[in-house]
Amino acid sequence: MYTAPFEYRRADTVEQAIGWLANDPENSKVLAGGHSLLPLMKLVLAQPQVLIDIGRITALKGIRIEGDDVQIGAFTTYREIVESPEVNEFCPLLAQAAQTVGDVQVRNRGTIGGSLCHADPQADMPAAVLALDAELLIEGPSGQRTQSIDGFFLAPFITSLAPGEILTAVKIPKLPAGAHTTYLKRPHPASGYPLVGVGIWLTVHDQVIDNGHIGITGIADLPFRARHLEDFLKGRLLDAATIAQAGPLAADDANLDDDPYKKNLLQVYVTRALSQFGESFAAKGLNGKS
Amino acid sequence: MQLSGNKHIPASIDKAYTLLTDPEVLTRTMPGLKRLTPISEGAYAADLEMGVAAIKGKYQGTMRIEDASPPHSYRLVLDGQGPGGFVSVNMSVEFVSDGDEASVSYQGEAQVGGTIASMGQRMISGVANYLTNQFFQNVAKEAIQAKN
Ligand SMILES: Cc1cc2nc3c(=O)[nH]c(=O)nc-3n(C[C@H](O)[C@H](O)[C@H](O)COP(=O)(O)OP(=O)(O)OC[C@H]3O[C@@H](n4cnc5c(N)ncnc54)[C@H](O)[C@@H]3O)c2cc1C
Repeated sequence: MYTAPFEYRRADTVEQAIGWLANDPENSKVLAGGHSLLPLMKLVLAQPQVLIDIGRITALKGIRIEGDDVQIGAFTTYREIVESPEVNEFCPLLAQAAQTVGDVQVRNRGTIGGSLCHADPQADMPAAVLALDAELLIEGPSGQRTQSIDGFFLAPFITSLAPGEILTAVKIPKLPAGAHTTYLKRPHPASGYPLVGVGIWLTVHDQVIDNGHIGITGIADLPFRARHLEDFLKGRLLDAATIAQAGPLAADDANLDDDPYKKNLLQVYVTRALSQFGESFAAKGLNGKS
Repeated sequence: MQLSGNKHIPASIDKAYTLLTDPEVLTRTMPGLKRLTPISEGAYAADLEMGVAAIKGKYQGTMRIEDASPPHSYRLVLDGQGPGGFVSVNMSVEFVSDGDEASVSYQGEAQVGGTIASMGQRMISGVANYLTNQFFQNVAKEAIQAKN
């Protein structure tokens, strides 16, 4: 399969990339790891005339601590996230989700920015970044703006990013000390993409849940926060009875087209993900202070 | 793939019917629709540019308004072809007064083939819903402007 002809340009700075995009925003595309864009171009579903490679822009790479946030450059690969000491200390959920993406090649090349901008409703990272309340730093011809991850995904493959804009970084507030995290997915047997992916962080004291966020991907039109479920969990004992009642609530925040299979799959994965915490607390004497 | 829904347009059914069947209004309101060129009574050649995030391409096709019974109902028949495959839509559109507003119901079927279909029906219907909502929001704006 061949792509339609295109012009390739490699940007050295964000300003240069934005300047090139501004020449013809509708027919130009940013190229990051290429693991979503190039397959689409080979299927001729995408026919950009100009590809702007952002892979050499140093400002878009790397992970660093900025006050209470972990700031991750848009052109940071899954592998760098998985291996980052900062991520593993302050927002391990992100590494847990990144670890499950594709295979080694995909994780070596694919970037967090590419995954979020592509907005495939079956991508893994959205569950984690939603649960982690990420803020996106975006730059365009009219300057910089920040956008909460809530409201970034508008529809499958559609985000609030305007055609001339570039995602530059993802800012993730550090989790409260002692937060427990898990990402649990049911991979599609052929593609490995999640049929459902559940990302959770919880803080628990004396077996009572004080706070927690849950992001879910793969199963609905859009990745979503399971807010009803979060509200239900707060203040409850993390035990079998709570988990049993909690499972069905995740569907309250999603449009599952009344599909009984999806409803059941979602419930099973939420229940299993929460049960993992239960088991890990049981192993540590139920104090929740691991 | 089934398409169905119900939207309100802040206008009488006469006005809503006129808006939804006026090629100039449609090119202004339908996301991606660039041009409608009349080819015969109620039939137009259509040029579309799909720009859904990574998916970009130019589509050509026809749009026909059949069984027109203004201001109550018509059938919309769309056929389009482009690099990603083909799309054909056949749906009935009905207008009912609801207070000061027109309640517009549509129901029908869309067929999608070619590589675009490999993206899966759920993705396509998610995109279709989003574009439909945008379209009706734009039409509602036109209806409000027309009043003022
Ligand atoms: C074999 C295979 C298996 C995979 N399995 C999984 C899986 O299990 N789970 C999963 O989640 N994903 C999976 N993926 C997808 C993979 O995660 C992609 O790498 C990712 O979705 C896109 O990142 P990228 O850096 O490759 O972006 P690209 O493909 O380069 O770009 C994707 C889109 O985002 C835009 N873009 C990229 N960066 C920016 C930016 N900074 N600002 C603005 N726009 C930008 C591009 O213009 C393009 O439209 C798989 C891919 C392959 C090929």
